[in-house]
Amino acid sequence: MPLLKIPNMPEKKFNFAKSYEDLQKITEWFEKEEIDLEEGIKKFEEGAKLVKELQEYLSKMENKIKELKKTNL
Amino acid sequence: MLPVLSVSEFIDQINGIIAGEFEIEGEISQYKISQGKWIFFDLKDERSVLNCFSTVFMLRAPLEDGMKVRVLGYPKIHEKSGRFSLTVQGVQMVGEGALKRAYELLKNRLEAEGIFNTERKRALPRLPKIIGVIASRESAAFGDFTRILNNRWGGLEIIIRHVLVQGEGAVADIISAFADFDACQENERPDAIALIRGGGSLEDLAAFNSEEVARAVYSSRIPVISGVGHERDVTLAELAADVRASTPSNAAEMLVPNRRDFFSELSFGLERMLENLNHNILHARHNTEQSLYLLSSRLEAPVTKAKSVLNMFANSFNKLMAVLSSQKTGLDFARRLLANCDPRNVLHKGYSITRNKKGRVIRRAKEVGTGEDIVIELSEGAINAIVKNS
Repeated sequence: MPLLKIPNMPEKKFNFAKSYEDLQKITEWFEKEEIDLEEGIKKFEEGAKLVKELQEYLSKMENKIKELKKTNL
Repeated sequence: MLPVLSVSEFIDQINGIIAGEFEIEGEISQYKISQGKWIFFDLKDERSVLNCFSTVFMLRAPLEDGMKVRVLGYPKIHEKSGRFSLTVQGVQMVGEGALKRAYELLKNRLEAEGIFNTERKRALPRLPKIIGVIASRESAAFGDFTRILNNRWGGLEIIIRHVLVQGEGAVADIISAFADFDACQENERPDAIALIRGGGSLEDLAAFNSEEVARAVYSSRIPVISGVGHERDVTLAELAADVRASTPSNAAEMLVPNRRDFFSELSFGLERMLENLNHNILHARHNTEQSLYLLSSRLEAPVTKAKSVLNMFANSFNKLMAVLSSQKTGLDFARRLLANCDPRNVLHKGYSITRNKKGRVIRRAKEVGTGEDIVIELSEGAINAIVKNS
């Protein structure tokens, strides 16, 4: 499908969906009845980092508008 | 002199004279479908009646007796039957009443077919990355939609497929837009499609009420959210959509969360993690203290036991001492009592004890005879004596 690409819009390496998924996994991990403390602290730090990244991404990133060209009718 | 024609020649000539396209407005009556293929109806006004003919393939519009319509067709005398009729190529509803009726008829039919079934409706992705939009590029509706999206969320890819939303060609355009999105490659395919347009009269919304568009929405491989601004009836395209928003702005709101809400959700999640961690730390500390207590009490046990034995021993010893001392007191008393009873003490006071030769104590005078030897014991020493008389 011919998409009208807008130039000079570098693809950011940060994968929002992946990070959010990772964060959800961590959140779920914490829902367990008993957690290993050492691992918990590590996971919490990881979660805090993900939250920060997600917030930064959402605050900075703008929405892009592209146009899908019509196929010949 | 008039030329003599055969019937076929005459009909051919007449058909030649009347050939052409006509648009005729009237009311439908005697509407019927024969063998599932042929459509017959009369178009009439106050004075006249026109026979009309068409095929199911040509006329998709739902028709009914009493509807006011504008038909497009060409007149013809049929050779075999000699009947004059209008071969209809298209029908357009005229007036709100007819449109409304057509809408109801089609709605019922599609409903019976299950096009609007809630069970088959899909959920929108929670966090879409690519959003396809089918709308008029210049419309206020599309402007509202993207503005709300920008306010709420970032990092989205919005792919607009411009379409005519009303008038001739709108239906075909909208259908092809769905086809185009369906044909997108995996990495460019939207996570959801928003079908957006502003409000309008029933006539303006005709494309959104067409069977073809409703079916295109229904068959889309990508979940569809509709956002059509209107005050009255919901269009059939909206009924077929997976999710129906009330307006274009509302569609944007339903597609993406608000950044702020999302942020507070994230920090709430973090807080919960921290709480959980704290809870577990407290728990672990409690456990540690508990085990430490257990451990120390186990280590201390022999000492405690020895201590208690010692205590017990001390207690018993004290008791023993008490018994001993109380016994000693008793002994002294007895000893004093005994001392008081010692006959020698009595002798001190000047009493004496008299015994016969056998050593028996003499208590009465008649116990001895005259001339009997007796011994008188004194406090100090004794006197041997002889009884003079008794």
